[in-house]
Amino acid sequence: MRAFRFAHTSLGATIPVTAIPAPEPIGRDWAWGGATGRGVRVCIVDSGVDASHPLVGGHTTTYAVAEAEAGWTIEPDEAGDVAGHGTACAGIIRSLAPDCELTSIRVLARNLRGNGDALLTALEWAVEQGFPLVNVSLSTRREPLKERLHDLTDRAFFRGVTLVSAAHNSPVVSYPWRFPSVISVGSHEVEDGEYLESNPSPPVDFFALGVNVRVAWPGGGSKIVSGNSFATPHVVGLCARVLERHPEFRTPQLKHVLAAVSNNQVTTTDQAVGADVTAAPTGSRPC
Amino acid sequence: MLATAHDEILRSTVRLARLSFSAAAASVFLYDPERDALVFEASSGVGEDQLVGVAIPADRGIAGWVANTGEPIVIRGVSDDARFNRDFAAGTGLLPDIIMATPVEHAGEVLGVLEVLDPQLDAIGDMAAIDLLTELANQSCAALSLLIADRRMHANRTEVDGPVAQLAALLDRADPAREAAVRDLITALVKLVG
Repeated sequence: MRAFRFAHTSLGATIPVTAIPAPEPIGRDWAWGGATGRGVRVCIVDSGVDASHPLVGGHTTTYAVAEAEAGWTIEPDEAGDVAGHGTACAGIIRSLAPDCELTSIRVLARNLRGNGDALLTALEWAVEQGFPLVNVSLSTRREPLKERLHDLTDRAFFRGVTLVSAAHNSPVVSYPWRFPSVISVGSHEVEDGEYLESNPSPPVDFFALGVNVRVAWPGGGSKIVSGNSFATPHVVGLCARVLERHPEFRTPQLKHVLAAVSNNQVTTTDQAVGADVTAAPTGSRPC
Repeated sequence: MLATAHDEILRSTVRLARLSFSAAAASVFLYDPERDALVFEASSGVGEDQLVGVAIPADRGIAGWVANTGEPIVIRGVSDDARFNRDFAAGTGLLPDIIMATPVEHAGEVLGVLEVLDPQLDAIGDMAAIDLLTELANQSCAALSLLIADRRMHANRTEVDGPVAQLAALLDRADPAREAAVRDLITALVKLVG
């Protein structure tokens, strides 16, 4: 029996290899064999990061969004992680891409009416800085921000900045994960951080481990957590590996490679022996 | 009476949340925009109501994350988090190991956070529990929003110089011979604000 029921999670649907435009199979060795994310700059837009945590460590720089009279700004930050969530995401990325360069932007706002602006400010900065990968394990439901976020994710797409964005844990519409210009991520419960499912029924693009994940927590310890927030950094970590091997890749190429190395592909022969792809019309719980 | 109903809804919500999960405690924070803080409004179980009225910054901790993102969350292993326990245990005496939290949301706006401490999740699983807690929060929020709307309507009616009172006075004084004009006015008002 399925033990998890939050929204935008895998139902175990398969994807036919014929849906992936590759004349020959694309293997993980070709995609990232031996890569550790070395030299790849990864930005985490979240609650901050405890850079001293042994599971995070390494090359980590921290900033925060601050509200000033003239508007929102990005400032260097020494406060660390004020909620724990960002450290959890950073530890997951490090577990898959230990040599990537992490930059954290803390976006939690004391004024809840302004938290959408804080998110936009952080994402705009990340795009301006040209980070090839941005982990966005949060979203907003504010409709007035939709158009600005849409323009921003398009700008990121054209600039070669890949936003990897968590689908909401509840069956609601939120952004930016629903935009096709980002890589959107939901959860599966296979206890393997490298196990990846390609979703035959978007808007969620991929499913990664997001259930009962042991994660780093501020102060040096660890916690067990569940949610699409924690599936997302698994995809970021794998993308960092790919970008070490293929630094010229952008969002469409990364989506293609991830689909090509996904674990839920089936061949025509597989389908004939029982994997009924057409009987799995949805790959995730609906929104 | 309305303040009592407001408190009753919150008290019932936290009690129902605690009982639903056989939890040690449940509590609800509401966002106070004047202080930019989450204010502890009601709790049920261990340390019941000892923290009522206490305000915490809306950009800190698990409650701050949930309030900022609108995302529900379950975290296990909190008991070894010295920072959390020092602050919380000082107020309640409770050292929880599991925290489950969900936003109290209305029309996409986060109004607060509902938390359950040490829920019994083995029988139903973490995320089925989140589903249930989220629905409890939604129900509570729907009741609160009805109450707030009712309060606004009540205030409009009872305010001496309010628009409802002014309109009633005007209509009371209206010449019976001008009944047709009054009807036209009502039709126009319905179109304008209906």
